[in-house]
Amino acid sequence: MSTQDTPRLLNQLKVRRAMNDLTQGDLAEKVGVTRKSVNSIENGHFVPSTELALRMARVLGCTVEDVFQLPD
Amino acid sequence: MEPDIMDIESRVDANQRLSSFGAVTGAIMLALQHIAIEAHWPEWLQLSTILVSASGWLIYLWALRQNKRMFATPEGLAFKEQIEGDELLQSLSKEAFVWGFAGMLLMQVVLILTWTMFEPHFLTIPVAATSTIAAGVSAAVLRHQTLWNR
Repeated sequence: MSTQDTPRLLNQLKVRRAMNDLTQGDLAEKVGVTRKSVNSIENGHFVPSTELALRMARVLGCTVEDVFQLPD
Repeated sequence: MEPDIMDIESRVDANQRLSSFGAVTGAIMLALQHIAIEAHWPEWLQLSTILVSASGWLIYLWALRQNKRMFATPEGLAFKEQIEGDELLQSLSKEAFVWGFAGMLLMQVVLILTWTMFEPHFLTIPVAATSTIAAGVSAAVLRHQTLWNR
């Protein structure tokens, strides 16, 4: 859990949200955080905890690796 | 549900900006007020610093009251519960605290160096104390706002 200036974690959150027809607000509500947190994660400003990443993956119907990847 | 939450979120953002502005203005002007008094600046200038400082703290309190009233509504309460469990906000608060503490330490170093080199007559305990508080408050609040607005 940390804030940062350059992304240390790539994510497909926006794509996965679109595939599930979810807005940032919808996803935020389902995983129990604010829309701003989802936005920060999506833009690579914030690295979520393992628990939050797992909750997001569950809501999006995929694995954590499908949503988040380490950069090469 | 979302329009309500979005509306609450934007109002929380606005109140936060306002309370930050009030706290920073109040804290800095409080320090300046003590400098003005100890350095025997003209009375109108002393009075101005007092008025601006008081206005800053009033703005801060007003913004807090607005938030409190908003969180008393069902939508506000739901948003408050969401905020309390939000890990991004928790991490921002921790980082802001660290910055505030660092700001206070830095101001202490500046004050000690200033005293050692120039021994200014206006550098009394009230001035040093309020300057330290102002540095801490400003650093914490501005860091929090910077991260929050990204």
